[in-house]
Amino acid sequence: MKADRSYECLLCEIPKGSAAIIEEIRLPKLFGDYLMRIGIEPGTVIRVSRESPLGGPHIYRVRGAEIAIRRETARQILVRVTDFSGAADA
Amino acid sequence: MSRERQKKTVAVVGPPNSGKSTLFNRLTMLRQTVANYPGVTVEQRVGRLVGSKEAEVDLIDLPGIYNLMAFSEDERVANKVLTGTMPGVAVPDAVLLVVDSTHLERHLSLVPAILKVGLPTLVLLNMADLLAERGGSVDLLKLAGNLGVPVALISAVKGTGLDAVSRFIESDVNHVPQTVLPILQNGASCGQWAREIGTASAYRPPIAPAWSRKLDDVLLHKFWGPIIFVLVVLAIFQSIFSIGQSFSGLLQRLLDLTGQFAATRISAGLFQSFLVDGIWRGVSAVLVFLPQILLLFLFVGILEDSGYLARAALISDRTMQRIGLNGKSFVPLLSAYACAVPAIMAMRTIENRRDRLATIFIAPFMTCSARLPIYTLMIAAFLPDRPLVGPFLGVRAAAMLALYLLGFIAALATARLLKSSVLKSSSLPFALELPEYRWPTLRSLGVRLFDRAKLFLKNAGTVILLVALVLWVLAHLPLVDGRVPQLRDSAIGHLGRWMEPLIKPLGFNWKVGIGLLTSVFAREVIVGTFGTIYGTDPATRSLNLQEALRHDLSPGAAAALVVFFAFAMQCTATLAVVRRETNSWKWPILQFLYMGSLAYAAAWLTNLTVSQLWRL
Repeated sequence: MKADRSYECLLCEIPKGSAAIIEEIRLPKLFGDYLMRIGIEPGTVIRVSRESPLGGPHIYRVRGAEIAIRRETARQILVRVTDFSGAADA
Repeated sequence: MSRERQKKTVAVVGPPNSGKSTLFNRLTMLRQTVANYPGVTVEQRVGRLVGSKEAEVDLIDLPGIYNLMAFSEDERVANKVLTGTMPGVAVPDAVLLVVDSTHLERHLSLVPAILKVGLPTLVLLNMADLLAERGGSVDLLKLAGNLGVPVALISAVKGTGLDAVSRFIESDVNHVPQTVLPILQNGASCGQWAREIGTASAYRPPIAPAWSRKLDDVLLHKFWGPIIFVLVVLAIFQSIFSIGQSFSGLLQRLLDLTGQFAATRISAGLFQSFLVDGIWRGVSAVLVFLPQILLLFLFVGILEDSGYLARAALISDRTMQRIGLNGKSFVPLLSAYACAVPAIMAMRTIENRRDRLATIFIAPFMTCSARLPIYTLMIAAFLPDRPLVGPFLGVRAAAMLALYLLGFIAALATARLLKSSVLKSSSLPFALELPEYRWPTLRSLGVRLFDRAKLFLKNAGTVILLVALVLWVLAHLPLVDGRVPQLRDSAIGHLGRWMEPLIKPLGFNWKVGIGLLTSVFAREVIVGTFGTIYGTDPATRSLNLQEALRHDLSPGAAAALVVFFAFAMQCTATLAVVRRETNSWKWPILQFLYMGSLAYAAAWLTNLTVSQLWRL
């Protein structure tokens, strides 16, 4: 069995360049639904695209779209960092 | 065969950034009307389909939505319209669902909710040109089969593939969707379903263009990003200020000349005065706003269509958070420094209803260009032209700057106040999609400008004209010996004198009182009013306006007057636009009362303080 080097962390902690799979969204259901509709849902691959200037929300790449998420929200999203894949995003 | 034209209603729906509005504009050209849905601030946009032979087709452009879960006002409205439960709107006969073909799998998750409504639906995969250009493709037949509804590949921007739309609309086939739909409550299964459909339809996603990301490397650069942003904002602001102002000035000049010319063709008297000073002046007051409105919307249009507006919202987000708002409020709010009227209209880009209301509420505090004439006049009359900080800052410039700052602080404080009490909103997770950059098209900009101008003229225009006429009546009646009275003896003159005791604590006299009354219409009017009053008063007739003011007002009163203008709501156009954008009278009235009270209190305090200081 291949060694599993993945680990869990919060969305705001993903190192730049690595891909992660969203595991859990720890927000009230209403907010979770709100995020789901723009593609942020468990099972989706997400990676850090860039940081915003002036400490603004970080920008993530989800299913080919660039989405900015504030830090407080990113803290509520649990992800599993998989290996550095380098493959085209889903 | 019956030649009677059928009437059909077709709803156009789709996610934000799908190019839905471009399609709508192309299908309806300029035959659109804009109104508000009852009870909400969502805009209702209906247009007549151009070139339809068989039927009269009305297209309803619904707001961009990701789903119909009724999470936001936009979704609730879309839901109501589609299910035919929106009062005043006909039940749609069919639906055009517009999605971005370059983001197909994400956008397809809207399909189940729309199909569930049960109306004949045509799914339009927009941006065919981009899809092909970037190496993407999809099997339309398979997709249509999987979805159970007709599908077409179009480009709203280029105008290709649109005959499919007319064929669909004009066909009499009531093809109700027949797909097995996933459970709608669970967002995840919709997403999953969308991906499976995409794969089953041989969807190959396009390769994202590198230039768009490279552009973000610059525009969202940690250092250069904010600098470019500031430059862009300054450029917009400066253009509206200078170009907008000059065009407005030119327009005003032209309108005045026309008015004078008309005056020579009509015998002098009450009627002539009514036409020229009343109606024509009112109409000019409305038209004069157009250059600034058009210019601002041109800029906002370019920013929005190109995709830069989302980046601007990001850069200013942190700063805006401190006053309880978010980045989306920044650009519209800043443009209020030129003129609050188009700025408030531009605030529709703020989706959060409470944030939008708060931003609209504080917009008039931003020192708009209409305040400048009275500021300049009073500063020049009462302050010496001396340097304050060496050659960098003179006394007069410092005073002007202080007044600008005053408005700014009042805006921030009010925003803070509102957002922590009445307009407090449960902090939605801030998630903003950054669309890819694209070139704005002249066509969409043109339609947008025409649309906004028409809106302004119709709504604000009628209110402004009405108030202008009322003011004319008050200033020209009652007749004295059958002739037009002096300003002091007119109805408004009486009003001014009657309210003198109310404004005495501020150091104001009845002449200022008349000025305050006339400037309720528009701030810059007070300069003309002062000119008239002091010009016809035997005591000040021989002095120029500045000398007359010095003669008549104490320094405390002068300071109080500019402070009053900094805070008071004196712009009928703004009130009219706020009323329209909030779809109620509550907010403009509240704004008027709040700002008026603040102005009164601040002016009173200023008069007190300055009078004391002056004696020292």
